[in-house]
Amino acid sequence: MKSILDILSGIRPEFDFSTSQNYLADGMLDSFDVIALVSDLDREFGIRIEGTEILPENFCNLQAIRNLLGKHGVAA
Amino acid sequence: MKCVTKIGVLQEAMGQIKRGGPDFSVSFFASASKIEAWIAEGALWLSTCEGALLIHRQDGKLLRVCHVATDQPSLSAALGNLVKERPDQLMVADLVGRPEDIERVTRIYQRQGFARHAQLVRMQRSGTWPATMDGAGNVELARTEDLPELRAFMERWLDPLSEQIPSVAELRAAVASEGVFAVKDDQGLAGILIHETTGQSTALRYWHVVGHRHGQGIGSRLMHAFLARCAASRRVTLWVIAGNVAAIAKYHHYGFSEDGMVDNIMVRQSERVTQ
Repeated sequence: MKSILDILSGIRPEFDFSTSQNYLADGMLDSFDVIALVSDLDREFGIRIEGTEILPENFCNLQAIRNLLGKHGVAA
Repeated sequence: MKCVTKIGVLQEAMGQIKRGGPDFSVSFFASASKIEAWIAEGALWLSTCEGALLIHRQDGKLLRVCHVATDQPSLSAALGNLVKERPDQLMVADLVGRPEDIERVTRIYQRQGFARHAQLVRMQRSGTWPATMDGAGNVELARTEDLPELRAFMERWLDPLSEQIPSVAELRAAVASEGVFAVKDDQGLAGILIHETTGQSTALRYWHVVGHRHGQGIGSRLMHAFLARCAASRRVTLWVIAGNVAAIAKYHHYGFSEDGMVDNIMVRQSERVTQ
């Protein structure tokens, strides 16, 4: 199974996602990328992230994404 | 139809549209700061129907339409309602994604009377560029007093259907953040380049040289100034009309390449015009 960092690097290989605390403010992910990320997380972890969860604060850094996955019973 | 007065109302409405099915589709990608600005202008409206949300924004004579939809029938119904309510309204929709992903949604818009006005392709550039203004010649940063001329330049030379011409407030913000380069002479503005940097990424929004000034190196000087300015950016993106072979060749020359994303610009003419 891919890690969250693998998935992020697959979307935007030019950035190092392990260092940033805010992917959106740092220009590493834009709105199009967030939609791609949601689809990739759904597919990779067999979950369905709801529309109400597609908020910047749920995708702003690695811990936020981990917390979101945790709500769906995924430890990543 | 409901005017959006708070960003939370929009987020809640978007969240109500169930996703997860293969036909889920979204065409609304505005940043929070843009949404806040449109709300402050009272320009953002919502209309809903079962399984679909339309977000529309009045932009001069145009109505810009975006959607969030669970499936195709819901989107089709929502668009049908909007068209019925406002038959005389010129409407524009941007459908962004990989060509294979937006093909079906494009057909839904076509069935509701929209036609493809243009297709844009996204290009991006990674890697480094020397942070030197060599080659930038007489390029200067635009100033606040240039705003009326800048706005008039853009209204005159850009296609408002393919390019979202910035408001004076947006232009003022771009000038304040030193995001507007200009080449001026005694004939006025000869060329402009507008960009926006967020963290490690920069978006090239507009690069235009007046038609009769082509071939004088103005575009090249603007591009050199721009690339020097965003030398620290790890990613630089832009959108260009797919059929604009000359522009695409120039972008290739400067190290950009297509990244596979396209934007189908769909236009629905007023029924008064089409009859």
